[in-house]
Amino acid sequence: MRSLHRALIIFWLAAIAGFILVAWNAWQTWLHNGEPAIVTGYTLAGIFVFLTLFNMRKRLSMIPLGRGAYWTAAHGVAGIFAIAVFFVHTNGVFWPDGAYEQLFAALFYLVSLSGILGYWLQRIMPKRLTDNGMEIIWERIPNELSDIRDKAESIVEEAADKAASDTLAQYYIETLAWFFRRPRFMFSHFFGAQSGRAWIRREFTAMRRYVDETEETYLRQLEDLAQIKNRIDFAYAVNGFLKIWLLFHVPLAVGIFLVMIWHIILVHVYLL
Amino acid sequence: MITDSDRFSYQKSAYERPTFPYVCGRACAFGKPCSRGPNFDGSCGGTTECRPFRNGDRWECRRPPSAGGPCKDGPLPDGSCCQSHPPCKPRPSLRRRRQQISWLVATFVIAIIGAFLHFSPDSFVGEKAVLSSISPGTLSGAHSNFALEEKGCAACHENHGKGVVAWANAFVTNQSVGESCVDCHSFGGSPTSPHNATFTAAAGATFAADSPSANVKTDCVMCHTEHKGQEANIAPMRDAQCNSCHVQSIKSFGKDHPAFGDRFPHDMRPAIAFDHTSHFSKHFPEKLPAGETRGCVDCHQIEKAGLTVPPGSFDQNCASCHLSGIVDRRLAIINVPYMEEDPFDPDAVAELCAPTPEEVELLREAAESGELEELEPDEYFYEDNGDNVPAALALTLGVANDDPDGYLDAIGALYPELAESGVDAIFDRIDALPGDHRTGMMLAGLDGELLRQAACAWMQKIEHESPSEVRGGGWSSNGLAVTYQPSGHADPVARAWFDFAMNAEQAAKAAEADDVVIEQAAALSDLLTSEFGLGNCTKCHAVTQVTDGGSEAAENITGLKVEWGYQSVTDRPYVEYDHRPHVNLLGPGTLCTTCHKQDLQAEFAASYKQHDATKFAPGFLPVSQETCTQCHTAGKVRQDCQLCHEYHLEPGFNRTMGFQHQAQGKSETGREGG
Repeated sequence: MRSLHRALIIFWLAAIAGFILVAWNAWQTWLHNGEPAIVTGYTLAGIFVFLTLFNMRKRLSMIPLGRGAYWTAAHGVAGIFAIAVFFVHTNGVFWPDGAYEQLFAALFYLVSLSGILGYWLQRIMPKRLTDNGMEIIWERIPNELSDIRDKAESIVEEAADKAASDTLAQYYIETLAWFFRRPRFMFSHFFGAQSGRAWIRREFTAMRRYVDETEETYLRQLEDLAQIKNRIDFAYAVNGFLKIWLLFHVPLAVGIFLVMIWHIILVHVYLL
Repeated sequence: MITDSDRFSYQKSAYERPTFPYVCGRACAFGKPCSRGPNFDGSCGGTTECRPFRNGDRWECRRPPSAGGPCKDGPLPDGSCCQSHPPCKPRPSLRRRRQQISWLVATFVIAIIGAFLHFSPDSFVGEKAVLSSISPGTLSGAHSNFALEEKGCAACHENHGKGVVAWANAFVTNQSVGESCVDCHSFGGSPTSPHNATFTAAAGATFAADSPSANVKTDCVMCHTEHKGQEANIAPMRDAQCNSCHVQSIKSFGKDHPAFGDRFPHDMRPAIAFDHTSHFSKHFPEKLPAGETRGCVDCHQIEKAGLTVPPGSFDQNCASCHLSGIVDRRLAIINVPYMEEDPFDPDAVAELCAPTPEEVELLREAAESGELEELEPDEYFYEDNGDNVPAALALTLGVANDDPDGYLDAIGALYPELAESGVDAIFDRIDALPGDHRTGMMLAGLDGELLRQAACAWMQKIEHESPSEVRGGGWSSNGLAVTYQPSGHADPVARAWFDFAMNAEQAAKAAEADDVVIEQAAALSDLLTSEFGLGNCTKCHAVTQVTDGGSEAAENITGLKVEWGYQSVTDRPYVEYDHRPHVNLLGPGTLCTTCHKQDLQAEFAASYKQHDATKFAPGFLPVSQETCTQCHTAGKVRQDCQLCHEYHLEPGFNRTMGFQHQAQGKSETGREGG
């Protein structure tokens, strides 16, 4: 952790130094009536390539190209660096005039915003997942939910046998089956609210008045399972957002990469 | 289940493969996923729980421990699994979906670029040009119609519309966008030289040859970048850019701008020798009615204010006092000079100047009345006249004007020619003189009959009277001379004589003419520039030496010129100043004396007695920098370099920019500079 922190500091220092160098070069070039956009543009293109390499790195996990955490940190820093260089390149112009450059700018801003969102998610969500107290592989959550559901149904069946009453079974069919069917309260979990836990407490407290002592035991087991399932729902929601934001970020990055290539072609054919 | 502590053991947990493109359809519905999962092609792999293995002659179950281990029933006799399930519909994994969306976005981007890509120059013209996927933005207002012209984008971008091969070639070769700018724009110097200046050691160069910028090659696109919108300023320039080249760095005008010159802004004397001091202190009080005064704007036209505030015309400002001094100064070109003997052959004169029927009738009447004796020629006609030949005639004949013996034969030859061929006799002689003469204009309006009659009369030893009185100026005879009287100010004949005479001496020297010709050329120049000279033009119009550039050193002088018109300042090509916002600051004309204070001690008029325009005493005290910094300083009014300095030298256009008017009408902003 300490080495990652140290690496992050180094990345930031390198980015700041790089930005100062690029900005100073652009300023000097402009002072001497040169075209600073050439250097800043190719710098930006280089940063884009580096940012894209992060995706390549994840595909080539078998090759020792450095720890993923370092790459993630470098990717985030380079993204911020790219935003700064972008505005030096455009000379501070936020919204260009030509249609294709507007497409370029729109893609860049969307990629940047989704990147910042992703960086923010990756900074806060792992801590929340840790606080959840339950480590679970996201891809296995359906399987876990299925197991929990099976377990809950077996408890209900056993309760019906032992207590010779269908109170719990009716309750399960009418209320709990909805909850155990699939992850619930997704947005509540993502934003840190406790709608799931409140729902469980409310429903089980209400039910407790209608069961006898034998059923009370099984009801408590069901409530424990519901609490576990609620925590899995939380993991599913939070972990899911960490994966879903890439559905925006990566395709937009592909788009901006293509427009960038077109931009370079035009600049060389029409200006340089 | 998650509550099991050993749930990740190999006997309970299947290996997760997040890079697989598909995930189990049951899992997606949060059901129990099968242990085998989907196949790589997206089909369900869980229709059976295992793929039995043939070991010898027996089939063995291969269901993994995580799925419960080998089943109790075992494989069927044909080797298929006995545990079959209906297939699910696997769904793409997140990674697969990301790929699909990425391809979708890539296709969208390429389609957008392709849809709006046109290699043809006549596509996306005018305001629609911004839609083209090759256009980075709208052109500025001044250039906005380029796309409408025949060339369109190709007016600046030579590879436009030439296809993919030309593009490929252009990608690896340098473009020359800036070179096409000079198709329309012109400058006073090289367009690729800093400030369009000349960097040579020769006199007249704009900057020194050893300047660090001497070998710098500039390009228009260094400063002027297009496609930034119709309202964009395509010539932004900051003080820092100026300082990057100029050796003397200037932080701000108010702090460390070089001090103005001792005579600023008067480096050259004015073309018109108008002495403000004498006029305000002496002439105006004498001439104007009591109580009436004159101010600056009574003569200077503030409605035309710009770099200068030009004075009104001669008729507006000067004619009331100075017109009479022009029209009463005549120039004689021929006369009857003092001669000790008659150089004319009487028979030839009689033949050339035979009496006309009117003269015959006059003689007959005189004979009948007994007055014929009075018509006898005056024996002392040439000796009684004490005048020499006028300077113009002496120069024309190439004789000394004060040497009767010298000009006797020349007069003897000229006058019969005048009597015979009129103007041609003198026209040809002037035309043969060295120098830059406009003989046609110098003799414009001169009637050949007037010359013939005058020559005949003088050869017959009688005074010649003009047949009619001449009014309003022109050529006339006053008995013993033919003279020219200016018709008024800016008389073209008078101008032609001055333009010729000012350089006649130098031209004669250059042509290695006789000394007498050189002397007479100087005499003619002296005569014209004297207070008795034709029209008294040089009383007000400066006679200034012309140089081939650089210093006013003698070796650089190529001639003299009369400065006929009011000349705007031309010796500060990179300085621009606008009087308009200044004179109107507190009302028209009220602030002139804030900057322009008269120097009552200056000997302004004396400087016009010589020809070096740089040697003069301005009639005004220099404008000090402190006068400007009262307002143009930090926190008040602009003080950047471009406010008073222009980058380009004499910017202009090579062709009529008629189409620009419309564009400029739409937008008056965004085209500073260039």
